[in-house]
Amino acid sequence: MLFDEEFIRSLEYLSIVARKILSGQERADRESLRRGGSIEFADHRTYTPGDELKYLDWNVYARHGHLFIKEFSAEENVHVRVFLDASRSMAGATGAKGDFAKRLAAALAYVGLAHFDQISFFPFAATLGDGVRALRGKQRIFELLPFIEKIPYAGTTSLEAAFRTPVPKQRGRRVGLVISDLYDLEGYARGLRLLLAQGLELRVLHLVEEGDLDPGRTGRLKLVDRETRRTREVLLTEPLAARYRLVLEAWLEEVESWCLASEIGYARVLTSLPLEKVVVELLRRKGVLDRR
Amino acid sequence: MNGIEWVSPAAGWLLVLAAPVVALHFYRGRKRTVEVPCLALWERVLATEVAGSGLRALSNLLPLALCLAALVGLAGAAGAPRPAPAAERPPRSWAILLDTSLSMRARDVENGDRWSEAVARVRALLAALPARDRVLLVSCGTAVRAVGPHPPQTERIASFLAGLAPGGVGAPLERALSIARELLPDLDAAEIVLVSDGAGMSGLDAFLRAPRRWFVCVGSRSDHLGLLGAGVDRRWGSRRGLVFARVRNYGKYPRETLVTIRGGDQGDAVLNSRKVAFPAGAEVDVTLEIPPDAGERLVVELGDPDFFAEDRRAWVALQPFRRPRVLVVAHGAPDPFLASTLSALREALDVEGSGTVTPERYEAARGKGSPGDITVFDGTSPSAPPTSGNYLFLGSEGEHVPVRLSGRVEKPVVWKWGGDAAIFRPIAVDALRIGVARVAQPGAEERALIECPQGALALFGDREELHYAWVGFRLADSNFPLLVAFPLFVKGLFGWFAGRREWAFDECYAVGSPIAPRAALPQGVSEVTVVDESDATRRWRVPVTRRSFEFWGADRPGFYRIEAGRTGWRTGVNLASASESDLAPRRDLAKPPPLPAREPEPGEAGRWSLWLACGAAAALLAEWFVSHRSAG
Repeated sequence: MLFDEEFIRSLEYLSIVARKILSGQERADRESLRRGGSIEFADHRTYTPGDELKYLDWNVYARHGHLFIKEFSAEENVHVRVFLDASRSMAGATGAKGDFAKRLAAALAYVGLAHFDQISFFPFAATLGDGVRALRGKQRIFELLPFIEKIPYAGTTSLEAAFRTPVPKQRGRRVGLVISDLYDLEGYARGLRLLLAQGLELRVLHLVEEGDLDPGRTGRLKLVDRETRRTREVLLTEPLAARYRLVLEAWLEEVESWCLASEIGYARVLTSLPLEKVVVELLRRKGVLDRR
Repeated sequence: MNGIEWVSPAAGWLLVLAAPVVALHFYRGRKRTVEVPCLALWERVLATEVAGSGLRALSNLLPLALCLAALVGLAGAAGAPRPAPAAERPPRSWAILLDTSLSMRARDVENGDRWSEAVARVRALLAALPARDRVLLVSCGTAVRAVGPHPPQTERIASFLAGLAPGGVGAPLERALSIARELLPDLDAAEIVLVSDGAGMSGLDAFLRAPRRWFVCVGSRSDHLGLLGAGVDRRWGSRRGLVFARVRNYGKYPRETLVTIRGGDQGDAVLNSRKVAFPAGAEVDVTLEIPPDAGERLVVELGDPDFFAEDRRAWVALQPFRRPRVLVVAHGAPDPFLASTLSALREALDVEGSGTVTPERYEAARGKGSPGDITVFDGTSPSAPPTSGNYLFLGSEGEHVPVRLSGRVEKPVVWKWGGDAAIFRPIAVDALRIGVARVAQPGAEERALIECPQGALALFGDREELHYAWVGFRLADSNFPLLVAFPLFVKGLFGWFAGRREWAFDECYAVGSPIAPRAALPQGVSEVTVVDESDATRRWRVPVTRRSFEFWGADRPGFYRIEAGRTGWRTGVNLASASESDLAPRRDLAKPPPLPAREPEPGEAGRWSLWLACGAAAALLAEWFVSHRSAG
């Protein structure tokens, strides 16, 4: 069981934020800025030829002599695509990081399903894996969860290679949630740009494990890359470890700066934090989720 | 030191722990595999890291070395080390010659004098010697004394050493060695240690050339001004006197200092003083006049006290002032003119008085001592040739009269008289008329006073301590007593006698030299008592042999009083030794003996263990610091 009931209830009060995309074809449990045939008045606008006359506000015309069309807000669905990094580095030192990533991905998918967003789920590593597409309705979570649980962490990370594969296009607003540790130092930016190019409003949930910040031991070490299995021997001293932490922090800052500059939502998520706190507080604070 | 011995050698097994320590070190330092999420990030860091060097490899071994050092320290502390006793060396004989001459009183040693340092050095040597060694301790001074051979830490040697005190002049090295050889037959195989300042010690170079001869030198200074001696001269006819002092500058620079004479009733009144310059290395005689009330004890002092007090003062005993006594030797009553002259002119002649004895009684009195200061033979002659004293022979013809008689003359014509002689200077005897007179031929040591063509009618002579005047006619056979020339002649003669007392250093005794009476002691005195006036506890009883004695105990300068029955006198004893006053220590010859390893003290092992434990703790602390810095 990935979640308890209380957590699930708290997820139902959340929704995935889609700032600029409001063009879903199907009606969803989401207020769209597209004025439509809903019953909830939204605004007036000047009449232009071709507008349906039934939306003319005759009262305004009687008072002011100008033609205004009444607009009503329409609740639209959003296509949410969750990209979960399934490379070997995501497993972490103990596997906790991988579990956390899966639970986070599942939670976000559930938030979308609970609000009739169309959820697609894609694992990726060096390539984009086969995913689950276009699920709608929170009952579909039971199809999604076994799929998520079965995702293995293997292979190397290559965002560019993975996202070069085009995802099926669907009409409407599209939100991409990338859950990854982004340990593709040279290629993460190109990969994310590919997703942007596909018209996705991107949110990057950058997972950082405590063990990534601190190797935990010093002395003569043989460092093994979790993904490539490349090795490097080092006499790790405390000053060297401190310097590594500085380099890592600088890289994290670099990623965040690049994302913000590229209008990509960014949230750095420490896997040691409780998932509930991350979903309910951190992601809301970072603008990934919102309360309905 | 002979090495180290371990109280608990079993603690060495602790060193076995070195094996696990080494193993643990290499286990801890083994290469461990760590998975990292992204090696590329590490490579960014390692790109700036300087490649590992040999120095770093050595630094890796530093913690191990510190651990092993700590382990060794702990094992050492548990083993309770201590210096090994010198048990392997065979027993040795030691002869320690300790200089007890007066120069050892020089206070040029920190917190004491040379003597205290010498005693301390001897005690240190004794304490360092193992108990199985044998020590002969010889005091090397005026008196050579010895104790031993005994084990070094015995009470007899300690008490002997405590009873020694410096005094006297000279340190007779050869004599001390010969006595040491008597008491220590294997002296040639023994270690001989001389503890001395070496000042004034002859034969020191030759002594040190032999093997197993050691010289512990004490003292440091030589710039010294010392009194070599002092004397006093107070002549008859003058109550004033002169004090003579001989001062030597032993330093390299000229000095000027005040010479003061103290005396008076209490002995501390300043009688006279004068500032005198003393060239470097020079000996200067200083003469100072003393007043009539100078007292009986005169002390000559040099100003500016320095580090050696023993020759900064000289002690001079001034004999009580007295007038000379005149003894007339005549058959029956003396010539009335002579008697009246002596009586009438008593004050003018400054004599105590006069007496008359027959030749027989004179001879008897002379056998008991000096009966008079001036003896007048009035028509008589001595039964034995006089050797010392002052004599006036009036008409004496005997064979023991010290003049060369040449004949008899009747009514001689006085044609010449010694007007240029001091005795006869204001006298004219052209009116002298003589009945019968003996004529003498003046010798080389004599001068004629009255002459006739046949020879000298009167003369005076001076042979070492014998002073005399001879008149070749009896007073009653001439008009000489009627002439004013007669009392003038007597006064001039007595004044000349008084002037014969020459000053000499032997008025005072030198330290270490024997004190003996200058005249025969009264009969019946079997012993005299000699008292050191500066220390009443120092009293000696000296036996008298043949009315004389010799006292050798004057080993310190000062006044010594000799009490012989009802009589007594005082004499001054001064250092009066240029060699002893020359305080330059022979540091150039110093050759201290190699002290044997001392026996370990109780508790020394504990101290060593404590230090080793502290060292081990420090090594562990350093290892922790190094490891913490390098490996976290």
